Amino acid sequence: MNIKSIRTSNTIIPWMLLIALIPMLLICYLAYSISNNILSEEINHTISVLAKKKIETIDVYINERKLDAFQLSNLPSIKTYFEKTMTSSTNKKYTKKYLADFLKKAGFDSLLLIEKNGGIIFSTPQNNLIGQNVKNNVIYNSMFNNAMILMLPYVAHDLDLNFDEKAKIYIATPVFDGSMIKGVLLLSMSKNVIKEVIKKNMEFPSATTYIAPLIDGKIKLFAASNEIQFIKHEDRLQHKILGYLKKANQGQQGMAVIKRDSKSPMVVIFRYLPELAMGILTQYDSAKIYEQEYWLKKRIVFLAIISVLIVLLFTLWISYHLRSASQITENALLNILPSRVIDEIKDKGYYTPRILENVSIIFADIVGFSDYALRENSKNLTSFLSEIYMEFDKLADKYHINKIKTIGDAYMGAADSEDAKSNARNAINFALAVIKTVKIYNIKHDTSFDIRVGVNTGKVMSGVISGKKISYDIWGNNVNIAWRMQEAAPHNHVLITQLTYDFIPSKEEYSLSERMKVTCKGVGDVYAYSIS
Amino acid sequence: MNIYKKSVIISIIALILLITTGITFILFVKPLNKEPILIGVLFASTGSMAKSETPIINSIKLAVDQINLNVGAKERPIKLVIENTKSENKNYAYLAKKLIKKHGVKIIIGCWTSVCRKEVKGIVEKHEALLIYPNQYEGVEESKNIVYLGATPNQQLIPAIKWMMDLYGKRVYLVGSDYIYPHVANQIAKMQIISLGGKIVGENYIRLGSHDVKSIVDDIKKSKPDFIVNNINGDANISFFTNLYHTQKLPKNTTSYKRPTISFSLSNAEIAKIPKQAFQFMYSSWTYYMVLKNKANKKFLNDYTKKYGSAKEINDPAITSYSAVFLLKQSLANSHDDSPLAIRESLMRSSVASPAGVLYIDGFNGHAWRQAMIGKLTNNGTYSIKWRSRHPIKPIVYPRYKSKLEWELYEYGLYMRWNKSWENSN
Repeated sequence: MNIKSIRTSNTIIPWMLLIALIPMLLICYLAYSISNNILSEEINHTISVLAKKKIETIDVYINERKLDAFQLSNLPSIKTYFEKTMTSSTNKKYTKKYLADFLKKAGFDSLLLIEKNGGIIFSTPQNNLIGQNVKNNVIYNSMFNNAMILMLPYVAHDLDLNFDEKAKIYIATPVFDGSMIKGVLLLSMSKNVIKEVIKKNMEFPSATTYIAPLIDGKIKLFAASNEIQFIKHEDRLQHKILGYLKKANQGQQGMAVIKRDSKSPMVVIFRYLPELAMGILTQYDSAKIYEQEYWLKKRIVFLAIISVLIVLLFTLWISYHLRSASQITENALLNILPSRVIDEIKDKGYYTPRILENVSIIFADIVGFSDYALRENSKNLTSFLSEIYMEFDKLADKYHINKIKTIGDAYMGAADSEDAKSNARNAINFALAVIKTVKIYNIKHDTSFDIRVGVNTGKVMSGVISGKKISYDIWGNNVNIAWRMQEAAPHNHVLITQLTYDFIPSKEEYSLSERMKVTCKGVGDVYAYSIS
Repeated sequence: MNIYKKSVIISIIALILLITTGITFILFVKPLNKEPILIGVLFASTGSMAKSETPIINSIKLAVDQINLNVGAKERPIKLVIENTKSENKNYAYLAKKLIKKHGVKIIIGCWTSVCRKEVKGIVEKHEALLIYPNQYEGVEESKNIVYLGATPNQQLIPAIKWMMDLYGKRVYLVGSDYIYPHVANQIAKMQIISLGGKIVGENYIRLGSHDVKSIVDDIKKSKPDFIVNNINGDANISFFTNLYHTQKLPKNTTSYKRPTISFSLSNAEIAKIPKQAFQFMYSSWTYYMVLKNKANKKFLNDYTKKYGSAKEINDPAITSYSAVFLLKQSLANSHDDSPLAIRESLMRSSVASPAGVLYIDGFNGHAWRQAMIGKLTNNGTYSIKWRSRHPIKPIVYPRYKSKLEWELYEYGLYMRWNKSWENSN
């Protein structure tokens, strides 16, 4: 495989995922802002629909009462009252009982029958106005005239209402007989009934609804769903609410936010209530209304965080896998190539062949391995080799030796740092350790392997051969000499050349033999020392 | 190596997923629609109705200018498409169709006469458009494609007749133009007068656009009513009042007529042409008079004078149309889509502070709540309000003297008698 491709595929995927995070974050932000917009629109819409519904409820309620009044006005018994032809006392009693039942059922307090000329001919007991003329009473006169002029069930509220409980709503219905008008039926109910109607239709427990007409330019409270207590420091709030009620009375409608303090703004919806000809205003505690919105917002933020986390985790997972995958490659490579070389390949994409000075080359060969190989079965053989070589590898790491390769039973390494002295010392220490390892193995497994180690120091050529099988190698005369040293070395001894010897920093460390002369094939005589 | 291929595929899938979610999110966001909302205007700026209807067009333009001046970030501006009916009956249906089909208008403010409304009603119902009708009318009609902002009989005709009967007596003479509105209005008046114990001493009609009033005036003088109910529309009013109250010098032996008239469709433009001598006998009933003292009226008259120089010709339908534009704007902001039915739905139970007081649209029948008023002309040609209902009155579309079916049959009878026309052209 191509060396370069390792590097690119290694880094590009996490980057791709990280780039994918950017649109993800953008989408989250978009989703948040859009939902924010839609939600507040949605909530505004819901509230205005609620306000509309509230008016509808009162509207429908009054209309139902109107219809009741209209049906009552069409009753023959009512008409007979006007004609005063009713003589039978039982009939009279029955009618009175019927009327009492009706009033109770429909939520009316009192009933008056008024003749065309304004004379009251029937009244419920608590009023007791029979015989009087409505023209003496401002309120009754106004209702009577309106019903007579408009000729339809007419709704009005008390003319001089104030906070007291006596405030009333009147429904005046003309009574016809055929096409002739006979008089007016006047029904009344207290404002508490309306208050109950509003109370029943509260959507938010914290909301308060006011119904208030504008009389002579002044707002008068007619009904409120919750008892209202304006506290002194909230006078500004009261002022604002009254302002909106005034607007509602003029026919304007809308929604406004009153800031009582920075924490709890209030939402007010104001509209015109046609049946009672007055403004209606509902004041909501915004915290309650927006609770839902806050919850949804939170959920979106939560979702965004979760999705970002998922992408992040995914990225981490991928890069972890990639790293472990590349770790395997790198480990495999490390077996073949020295880390220095791998670093250079990673960096540049290739390794420049070069001459290295003062490299200590080590060859270690197990004596009689070929005979052993013939004797033992292959399983034992490989296990022996891998065990021994594993130990060697460990030692190589310990003494900073680069393993170059293994050639059959021979192990080739090189100490190739820039410091010649440490190279020599590391190489000798490694060689001695290798011998020790074999000895320990012999004791452990009751075998009798011997090992020869040769060390030489000098100039070598290094390079990477990249073909189908990538390999790092060193060449040169000094490598040959090291090999010859190994061949010439006594069993379980290290044979080092003069060159290596020269670099040993403290010669008293080792038990060195006398200088000897070794004849190397193709090189000639080489001075050498053996260490045991 | 397998793991690389796998991770590349996974990351590509992840990318695709992310992009698709992104696209769907983007698709969710409707682009802000800043296209203007088209409102069709169907009135006459030439012909016999021009004097009455030009102030309406001007008022609508004024309202649109005021709205477009402060268009919010999310609101759409309003654009008017104006068609001139030239006061000719044959144009109404054709122009309404043209507005809807050619210009793509869905909301039309238009029509003064009931003939026009009846013609356009068929068109808007067929094409699912919305007509805003600003004039007072005879009632006896409901349509899911029309919002009626003018007064119904119970907000104008019925209270006015009762008031006049209380004041002047029970012998009544009915006159009107010869088309659907005066016939139905007079029918309602007749039934009310009878139910209040009054007497109809005569009833007469004059053709639309005709000025031949002599026979009617002679008949009135002969039958000596206590007061006259006048439902004449347009220019014919001028000759009617001029002849009735003898504004020219009289021959010595003729008696002058000195009983009042109450008019229901007499606009300021026509009053300007009637000699002053007649003013003392002239009452009218509208749901708006220029003399009304409220903030909205003051502002409107000021703005109108500033733009057009004079506000003398302002009439009830003009301020109703002016307020209608604001009502429409309000409902457009509240309704989720701009289909005519959705707009009508959101118009229901909505209100606006109009120069005539509260203009509230009833949630049950789509008619406006209006305040009944009776005004008497003073010598300088302005009205003084003699009576007004305390509050806006709930609109009753079918007066209770007849059932809904009976009213519809009555109208259909007239239509058939007039050779399938809403106007008597014989």
